[in-house]
This record gives sequence, structure tokens and C-alpha cells, in this order.
Amino acid sequence: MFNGFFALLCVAAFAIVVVPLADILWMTLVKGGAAVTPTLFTQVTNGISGGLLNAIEGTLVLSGGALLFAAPIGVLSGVYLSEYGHGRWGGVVRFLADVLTGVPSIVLGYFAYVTLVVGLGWQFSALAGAITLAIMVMPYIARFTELAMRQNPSSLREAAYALGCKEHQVVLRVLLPAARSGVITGVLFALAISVGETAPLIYTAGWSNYLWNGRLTQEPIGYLTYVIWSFINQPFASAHALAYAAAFLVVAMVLAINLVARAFLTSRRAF
Amino acid sequence: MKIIVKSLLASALLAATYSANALEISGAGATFPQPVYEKWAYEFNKAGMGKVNYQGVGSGAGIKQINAKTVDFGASDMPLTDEELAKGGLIQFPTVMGGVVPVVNIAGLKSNEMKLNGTLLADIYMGKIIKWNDPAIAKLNPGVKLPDAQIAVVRRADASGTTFIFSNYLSKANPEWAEKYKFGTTVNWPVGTGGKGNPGVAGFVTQLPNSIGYVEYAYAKQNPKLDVVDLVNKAGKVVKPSIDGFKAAAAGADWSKTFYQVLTDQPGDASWPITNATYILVHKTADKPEKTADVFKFFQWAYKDGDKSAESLDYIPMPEPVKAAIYKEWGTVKSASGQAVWK
Repeated sequence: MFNGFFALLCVAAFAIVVVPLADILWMTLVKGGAAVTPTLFTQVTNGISGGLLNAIEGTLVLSGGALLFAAPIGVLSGVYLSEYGHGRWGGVVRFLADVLTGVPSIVLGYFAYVTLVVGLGWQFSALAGAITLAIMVMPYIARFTELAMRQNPSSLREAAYALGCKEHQVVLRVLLPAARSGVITGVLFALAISVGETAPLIYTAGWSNYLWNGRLTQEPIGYLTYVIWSFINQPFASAHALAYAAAFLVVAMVLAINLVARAFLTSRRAF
Repeated sequence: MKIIVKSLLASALLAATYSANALEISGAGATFPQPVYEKWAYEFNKAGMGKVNYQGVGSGAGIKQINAKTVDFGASDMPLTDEELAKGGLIQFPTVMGGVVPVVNIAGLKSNEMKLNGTLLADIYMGKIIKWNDPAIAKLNPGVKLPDAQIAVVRRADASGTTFIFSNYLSKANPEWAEKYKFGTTVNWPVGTGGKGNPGVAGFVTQLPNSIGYVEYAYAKQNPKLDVVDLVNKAGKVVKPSIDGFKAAAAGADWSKTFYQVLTDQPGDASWPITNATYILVHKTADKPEKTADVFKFFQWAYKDGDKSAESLDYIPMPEPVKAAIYKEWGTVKSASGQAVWK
């Protein structure tokens, strides 16, 4: 009797989690899917209609740029934590990384606004946006890398040293390649997180109706999440359609990245 | 990854060949004129004149950004007083006008069927009139079937230029409101449910039976679910919210001495009583004179060639004499070395 009741509770809890998610995905799919047209990928926004080419390009630039900063530093921090971080320092770094993942992104955005946008006089720009996203996702990459490295058996390290490898060879040539699927998964999750961010970018990247002309500072840049945040509040149906289309593209991107990440995680012998 | 690196490198090369003399300015602020600024920017760019970026983040944020000099121009739905301008070292000029419209959701009632005046509107927003079939409302609406139901008041939850205009009108129309609540971007509302932005208010009004709210004209026009209320204006005439009504309200204003004009409760038979202009802010002493000159170049183009686009989006262009006064005002902006940036 009680078992049945408990099972029912579990099912109810599951439904409470899944139904809203399914509803959101369905709504995005139906409304966004209907708004997806070829012009989205060929035209830039013109106020309340047009396409999303500028926003798509901006999102790729900002998230790609963030990875350029975050991936090397994050992976190296992760290596440090797993191989050398046994003492007090390791604990401090680990604690700080965990705190950083808990900082609301809007706080990071405001911090970057004060320091980079105003302080260094970069104005709203691609570089300010990318660095903000990089700071945000770095701890994820570090912790994922650490966990993946820790899964390497000790015998692997010992064998490498026994064959006369130097320290850096052990880490870079043996341990990191062995843990690569976990590391790549971390980087991909970081990418997925950065694609869906709005708050820090409003403070740092600004918004642009045009294609990016490659300047790192002094030039604002567009991104998909701004379209969702801003255009849905316009009175015009054409603006709403763009907002739904942008939501659809963001969800599709995040979903695709997650699927690729899962594929890496399950196949330990990927490429 | 490689693709991203390659594209970044390619863009960097592009940037190297990019000429720094092209017009490129950015602004931020009010959301009400966002569609028209973006449309102007698009057409300006198509005409080969340059790039104008505008971020709709709200009037308050726009004023903050121009003060911090993170943008070349700020935008606000609320005019700054002459003292505020002097304190911030700014000048302001109006770009387009619009109107605020009371909207209701009463079963069986159609748009333009109900009439209210400023006194009653303020009484409703003060919580003094609590039922739709109140004798004061019934007296103004003979033959209209008013329900015996509580009025659900909807207002803004956030600071907004729309609230500034609306509360300014209530202050002019109702002395008690003026004394107790004054006017501003936020008001110490005694009653009501708060919605975020025009869409928030529109959403609550469509969901709550027997509700009343206020939104920018474009939202009322674009949303068939919102029923518009007509108002009795200062001349005692019943007027529908319309482009002509906003134009009539703007016609009587004297822009020659100051651009601080709140176009509420204006005289004239056809005047819609809750009309407003939206403003651009720039620094009076320009750190980057060429950027400020570019801002003026863009808006001069808009005043000359942008009226049609503005009207297509339900905005009212500024009358010609006002435009002349605006060009004169631009002449007062100087560079740090005392040169006029606009000749």
C-alpha cells in the first residue's frame, strides 16, 4: 500500500519537472519553428523585422571567443587541480571555482561593465562580452577536466614515469589524451551555457543591427538572446516572430551541443 | 574550433582594412521609440550613410549610459527639466511623439464604447471609485451597460516614461491626485496589480476580467484583445485615441523656449489628453565632437527622410517649426576646445 503511494509521489514529482520543460520545448518548437524562414539566415534585423544573420554571427563570435579564453586556462587549471592540487592551495582553488559557478551571471556582467566597458573604455564590444562569458564558463571546464583526469588509473601514471617520461610529457602526452572525452565534454557544456546567456551580454556586448566588422572593442555586437529579451516586448507581430525564431535557434544550438557532448561522453574512444 | 579560429582571423583581417572614418554611432535607452530608431537606422544604412546601433534598455538606463559616456546618445521618454540638463551637462531634443491610451477588459463592451475623464481616471487609480457601475462613471456613459463588478486596476511595476506621462495627466486633471501622488516614472500606487513594461500591462488587462490599464498607443492598436477607452479632453470634447488627436495636442505646445514639454491635457477640440514626445540626450561639451556631429547627422536625416517610416509604425513626426528649433539647439554643443560641432 505505502509502496504504491510512494511510487505515485515519485511519478508526480517527475511530472512536475518534465511537463513544464516539455511545454517550453513544444512552444518554442511550434511558434519558433513556424517563424524560421530562409531570410533568417540571409538578412540582418531592421528594427522590427528582417532576418537574424547579425545575431547568429554575433552569438558564434561571442561564444567562440569565450572558449578561446576559457578552454586553455580552464583545462590547465583542471590539470593542476588533479595532478598537483592535493595541498591547501588546491582546496582554495577548488573552493573559488565552485564559488564562481554560483555567482549570478548578471553580477559578472555588471562587474565587467564597470571594469571593461567603462573602466578600460572598451565600450560595448565583442571582447568585453567574450571575456565575461569566458570568466563565467571557466570553472565548469576546470572541474570537468579535473574529474576526467582523476579517472585515469594510477598505473597509467606509473607506467609513463617508468618509461622515463618527464613530468610535462606524462601530463600532456599520456594523461590528458586518455581523459580527452571528459575534457571535451566540459568544453562543450561550457559552450552550451554561453550560447544561452543574456544578462551578462546586455551589460557588455550591447546590441548591433549589423554584421560584425571584426573590431574587438568600441563596436557593439548582436546576439540571439537579446532578440528574445527585447523583441518579445515590441508591439508588432513581426518582432515577436523574430523573438520566437531566435528562441528556437538558441534551443536548437544548445540541444545540438549537448547531444554531441553526450556522444563524446559515451564513446571513450572518440576520434 | 578550427572554423571559429579561422573566421576570427578573417574578421581581424577585415578589421585591418576597415576605414575608421565611416559614420558609426551607438545609443541606448527608451523602448517606446525603439522600433522607429531601428527602422531609421536600417534605412540610413541602406542609403550608404553609416551605422547606428540602438539598444532598447529603458529610459532610466539610457540616461545612465549617456552620463557614463558608454554611448554616443541616450534616449528617454521623459523630458529632463532644464535644471537636470544643466546638472548633467546635457542637451535634449524631441524626435517623435506618441500617446498613452487607457484600455479595459469588460465583457460585452467594445472599443471606444466607454468614456472617462481625467478626474474619474485618477479616482479609479486612487481606489476611490471601486465599481464599474459607480454613479459618476454611469453619468458619463448613458446607455452603456456597466457591470456591477470591482474594478481591477493594472499599472506598471517598473519605472517608465509611460507612467510619467500618465501620472502627469492625472495630476493635471485631479488636484487630490496631484497632492497625494504627484507624477514621475514611478508613483507610490495606492492600488492595483503591477505589470512589467507595456506587454506586462497588456497581458494583465487581457487576463483579468473588469480590469483597466494604460499602454502606449501602438500596443493598443496592435492588440485586438485590448478595448480602448475614449477620453473627455480639456475642451470638454470626447476624443478617440488617434494620430490626429496626438498631432492636435502637439500643435499647441510652445517649443521655442525649452524642449521640456509634457503634452498632457492640452487645449484644442481634437487634442488627445495623454500625448508625449520622446527625447534624445547628448553632452553639451562633446568629448568626441565628430561622434556627436554624427549623431546630429543621423537625426537630421531622420527629420528629413524618416517621417514616413515613423508614421507607418504609429509615431507622429515633429512639426517643421520644431525641427528648425532643434537644429538651432544643436548649434550650442561645443567641443572641449570651444568649437561648435554642428554648423
